[in-house]
Amino acid sequence: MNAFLLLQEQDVADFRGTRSRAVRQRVEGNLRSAEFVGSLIELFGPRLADTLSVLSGGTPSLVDEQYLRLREGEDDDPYGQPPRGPGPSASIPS
Amino acid sequence: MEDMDIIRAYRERKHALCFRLLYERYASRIYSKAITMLHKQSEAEDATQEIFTKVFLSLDKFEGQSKFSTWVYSITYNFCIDKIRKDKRSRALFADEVAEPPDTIEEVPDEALMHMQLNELRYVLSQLTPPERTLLLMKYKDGVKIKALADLLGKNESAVKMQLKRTKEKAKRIHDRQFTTQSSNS
Repeated sequence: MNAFLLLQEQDVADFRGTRSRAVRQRVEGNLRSAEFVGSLIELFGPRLADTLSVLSGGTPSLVDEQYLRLREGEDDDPYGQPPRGPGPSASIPS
Repeated sequence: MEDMDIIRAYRERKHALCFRLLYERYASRIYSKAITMLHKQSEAEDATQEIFTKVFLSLDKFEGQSKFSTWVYSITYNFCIDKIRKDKRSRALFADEVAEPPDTIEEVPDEALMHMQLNELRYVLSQLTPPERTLLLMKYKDGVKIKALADLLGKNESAVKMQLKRTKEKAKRIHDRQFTTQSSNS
């Protein structure tokens, strides 16, 4: 058999197993990091660009979002009673 | 399952299984090519890691016009050449002259090298200079064509052929000196 191919087979055999697994885990780690950074950029990139644009005197390109706020009238307690605190109760045995 | 099917599936779902399938198919071959050029086991492992990361991060750019293996190997060679250039070891790969060129070069048939015993070949390779060793390994171990070698080394084809011819002749001389003399003595 071609001695060069035997040499190649030996290289491949040497790499298989533990060393190959270790390299694979490092690649998976790199890809996860890259994906995480990509997600961050996707999430915050447009907002950051918009902020920089506004800071440098431009107009915001993103449409203002409606931020939901809790108003008094929308409180889920219609009687305005404070919530019951801890203390003696008929349903709780002392 | 064809490479292209796995690539399509990976693009759609980024599934770890697709990654592993491609890794199992190509990692050891990439490593084998990296060690041909970089010579050190640790550097070849680091290169395999970086090449694979690069391959997967740019998988969207692969259009399937060439074979996936061709695309991966070209990334591998370019990466290794860049690394050698950065490490200022260019002479190790791009030396113009083979050390001690003989006055007359006899054509050594490829079989003379290929039919050596593995231990003999290892000895011969250890006696060659790094550029000579790289050239022989790229040609005969990795099967890189003369034209591709010329592109990779930034030379014309006839220069590569001449360098290869000299290297083969030197390898044969080293082999005969060490092993033919030994066997004729015994």
